[in-house]
Amino acid sequence: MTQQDTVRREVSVDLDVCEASGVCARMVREVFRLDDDDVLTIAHQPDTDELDRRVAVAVRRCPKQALSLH
Amino acid sequence: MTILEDQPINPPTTLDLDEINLADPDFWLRPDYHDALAKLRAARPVSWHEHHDSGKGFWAFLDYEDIIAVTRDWEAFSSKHGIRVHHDAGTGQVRPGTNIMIEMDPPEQTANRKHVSTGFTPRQVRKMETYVREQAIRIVSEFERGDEIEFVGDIAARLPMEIICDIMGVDPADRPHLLDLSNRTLGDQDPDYGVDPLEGTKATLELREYGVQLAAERLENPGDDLFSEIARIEVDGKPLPKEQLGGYFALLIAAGNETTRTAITHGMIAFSRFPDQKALFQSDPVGLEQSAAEEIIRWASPLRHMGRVLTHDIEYRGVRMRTGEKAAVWYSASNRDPAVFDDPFRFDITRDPNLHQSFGGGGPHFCLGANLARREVWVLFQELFARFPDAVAVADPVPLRSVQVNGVKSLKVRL
Repeated sequence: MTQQDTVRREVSVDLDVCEASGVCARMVREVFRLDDDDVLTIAHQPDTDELDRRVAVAVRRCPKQALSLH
Repeated sequence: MTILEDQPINPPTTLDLDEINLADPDFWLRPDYHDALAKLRAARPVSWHEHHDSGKGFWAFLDYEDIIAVTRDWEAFSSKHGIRVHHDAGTGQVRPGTNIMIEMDPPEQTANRKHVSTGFTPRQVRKMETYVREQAIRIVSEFERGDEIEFVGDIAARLPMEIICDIMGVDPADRPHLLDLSNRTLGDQDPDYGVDPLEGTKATLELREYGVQLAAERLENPGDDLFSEIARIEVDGKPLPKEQLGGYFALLIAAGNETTRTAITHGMIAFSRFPDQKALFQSDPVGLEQSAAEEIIRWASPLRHMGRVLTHDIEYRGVRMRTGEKAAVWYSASNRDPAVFDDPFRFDITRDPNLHQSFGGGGPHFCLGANLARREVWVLFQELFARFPDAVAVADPVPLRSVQVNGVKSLKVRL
């Protein structure tokens, strides 16, 4: 199976739970961005194993458990 | 060579496993306490500790991953019955509950916290950038190169105090008194602050009473400060009772004060012990601001523990714990866990990521002021070293006797 064929997990944020502490944005800058109004946006879905792994750690480290990978 | 440079960072402990008692305030004054924590974590990641005076005790969690699990499992490990392991009837140290968010569980806690958290988001804190910097410059500009100062009182305590008091709209004339009350509140195990252990409780109550009166004043005459907003909070259509408003005030003043002051002071000690890291920071104070602040806060571990109370019987890592027993997570241990931090006893301002637990292990109570604290720390060191590039500690720090905070009472620094 080539990289492109791999079924990738998508990360999402529950904005009702997110408190914009910025932990994820500091860990994976390519994926998580805090905009000027402190709203977390997913700038880029993980598309490599390495990014998937780092995003998984960020999901686990979110202090408010506002992120999920599915 | 500075006075602190030749001291061992982590001397091997001379304590046997059974002699390690986290409930004993004198344990935390030992130079070998970090190694004792490492020894205990390796042998017994979950262990029982008892206060000498009351015989009451608590479960201690020292492992980084366990702390995440415990902190997030608020249903088993509740905050509702208090968060201080050392406050027990038998020890003479009892605090009436504050009944505010830090001593609540979800969903009640969630509803309360959201009213306050909006004041501390990254955006709100970014808006304070110029203001925080002006305060830091004002404080360091009072001194001249070569001055020998008492760093804690002259600099470290002042920036966080001024900022939290401005945020809360406290009259400048009242601030020294509030700082004194805040010191007594957290210094209740140190004979320097109050020989009578009830002094701490008295100070807490006085701090709350000040908050109750200020709230009444702000309800009548609202300003644009955070406390005017808190005073107007309604949960389920009802205003907060005045005791709770007093509790919020005391919490924000004490939390905004002691922890950041302690981080800044330990940062100064660390920069004196690791001159290479100071030189590195001075070479790129803006590029390294975030990682340096994070490492200073990890290194300091200002709050040693947070307490919880078990709501039901559980078995964790083969240890049986019962309903009503206390448990505490110890950040002093987890922030030096070699499984998480490479060479944890090296002060390294380039660590990235630096997922220390000084702001908690996550979950409902994760430190609300984290973003403000980080900014205060980096701005202070940028401005301090810009004016005083040779600033260095010239005597050993005088530690606070406390199981709760890694406080420093005084630190002589030559600017």
